[in-house]
Amino acid sequence: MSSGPANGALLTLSGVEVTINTLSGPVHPLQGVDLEVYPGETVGLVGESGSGKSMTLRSILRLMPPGGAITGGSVKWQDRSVLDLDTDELQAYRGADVAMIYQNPVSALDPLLSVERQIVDAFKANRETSDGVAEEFARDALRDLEFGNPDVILNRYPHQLSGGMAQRVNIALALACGPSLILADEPTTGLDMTTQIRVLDLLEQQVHARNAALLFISHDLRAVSRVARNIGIMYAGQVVEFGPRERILTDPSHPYARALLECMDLRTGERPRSIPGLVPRMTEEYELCAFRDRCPSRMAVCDEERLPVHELGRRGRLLCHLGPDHG
Amino acid sequence: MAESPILEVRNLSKTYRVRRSIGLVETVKAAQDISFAVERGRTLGIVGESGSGKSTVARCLLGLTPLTDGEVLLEGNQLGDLGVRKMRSHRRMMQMVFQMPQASFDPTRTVRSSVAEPLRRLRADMSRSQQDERLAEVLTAVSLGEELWDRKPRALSGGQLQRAAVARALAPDPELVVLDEPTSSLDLSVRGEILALLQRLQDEFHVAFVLISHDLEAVRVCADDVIVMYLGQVVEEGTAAQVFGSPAHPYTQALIAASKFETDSFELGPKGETDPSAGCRLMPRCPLAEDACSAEQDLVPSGKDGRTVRCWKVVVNDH
Repeated sequence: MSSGPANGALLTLSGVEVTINTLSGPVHPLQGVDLEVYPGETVGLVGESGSGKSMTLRSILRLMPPGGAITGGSVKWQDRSVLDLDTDELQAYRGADVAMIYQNPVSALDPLLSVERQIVDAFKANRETSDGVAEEFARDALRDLEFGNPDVILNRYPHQLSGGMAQRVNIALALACGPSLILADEPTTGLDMTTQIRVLDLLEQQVHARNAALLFISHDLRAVSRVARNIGIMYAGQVVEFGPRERILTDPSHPYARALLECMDLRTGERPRSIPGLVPRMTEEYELCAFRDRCPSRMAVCDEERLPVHELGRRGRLLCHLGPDHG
Repeated sequence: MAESPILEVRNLSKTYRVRRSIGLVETVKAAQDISFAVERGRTLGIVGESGSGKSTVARCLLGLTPLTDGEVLLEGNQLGDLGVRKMRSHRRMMQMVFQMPQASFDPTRTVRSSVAEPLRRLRADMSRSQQDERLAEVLTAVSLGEELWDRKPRALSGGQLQRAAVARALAPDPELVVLDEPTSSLDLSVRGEILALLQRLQDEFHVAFVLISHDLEAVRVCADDVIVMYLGQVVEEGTAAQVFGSPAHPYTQALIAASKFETDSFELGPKGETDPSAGCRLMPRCPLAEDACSAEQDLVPSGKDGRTVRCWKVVVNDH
């Protein structure tokens, strides 16, 4: 399905499928995810609840929920298959190659350990080094993340941190193993809007300063577009459109992406817009376009043929019968 | 004769006592000297960061927590003076829609039964069949498909359940509905649906809304008047067109810039860990702060267009 060999990509997802067996039957949250992340690149994924954003990040780390498994496609780290790593290799890959920042910053930290202990442990997890070197790293990392007095923060426990502070500590933790790719799952969603921007900017700065790549997911296109150069739009377990930020924000091709932009744009004196219909529940596997029931541009072909993949330049892709050049 | 406001809040203050550790009790001024009025059929928006006191004001309005000082008048009657029985009749007049629809419905009861609850409790004046009629009326008004009425909350999407929550609030025919972040747990594709519904129902039922939200875009399109709160104080008050069209207070400016994810022009410093005790509460974060800001700031009309602002610099510039 996807574009040939991993030509220099850090991470390549091709046709990734995930199935979770639940008491009420199987659910298929990912139904063929194609995605590449190149070294030093910032990529954002936008989608609504149930679109498969978080499951995409989980599949990259092979962190499946109970009853869940990757049932199709491939996940490649450079030229190695992540799905074939043994336990030790997987342990080394997690954290050292790919680190993760979670949505709820306080519960992502261990409530019983000081900030210093947590950063030091993470720093030493994949390295032979002394506590002194690790403590030095912790202090520097917190300073880089604009904590005025790192020594005070190092001695604190998670409950003594505000949400914004805790998320900055999580960024330090993610950086501790020197990963080449950082995954961020709605890292600023629970924070105040003024704090969100600060955390996003610090995250972007630190990722760039360390030449790492960032894969950032959020339901908020504005947050994603603040940090990501390339943006993918997810719907029903697929990346339905991918491209440079400027194009996705101003002139996307997929009808779902267009509808989302219209929903964002509230105007005084006009009725706020929404997308009629319901998000699919993912209990079935879609042979045809999953958006067609809600799509304003539905055509006869949408009910008959599987979705075509249009490659748009080096970093662009569209899954839609309309193709890239329509109105 | 001008219509008297359905809700009037005069100098509302709320102080919480918080036990930090054994023997150390701090007082937190969650809301300080707040005054506003809402007329029938109009929407007042309250915006601010978390900790600004938005939700405290909502709780005080609904009588869910006693005031430390000040008055809340509903149709001219002071809330604090009402006995239990009278309070019940006032409950009918004011209802609330909560942030998380999933958490505000009893998971073991059908949607119909939850939406009927305020009718059964608060509208003893109506016969059972009148109540059932009203129930069908509000569920239809929020465009909730009849096939969902007898389902449990978990069978409904977030947007559908929030529509049911709006129906529940409107069921006893209130004069005022407090909406606490009604769209912030919803997906973007259904946010517009709920906002459009609220606008339509306001026209239809002529009810007043107090809309509390950190989604400034939602407040901009829905509210007639807006108050901006910071650390328990109102820092700016005016019509939505005034406040969003030309924000005057530095905090309002920063908040609006942040909500658009554009802060290059104006950025606040980091949130402080402790409240400043005197003077402008924004001073430690404000890029425009001067020595004179350490004096207590009053909420005064700005010379320009009649809105009120708590910042001496803005007021001086306007005159």
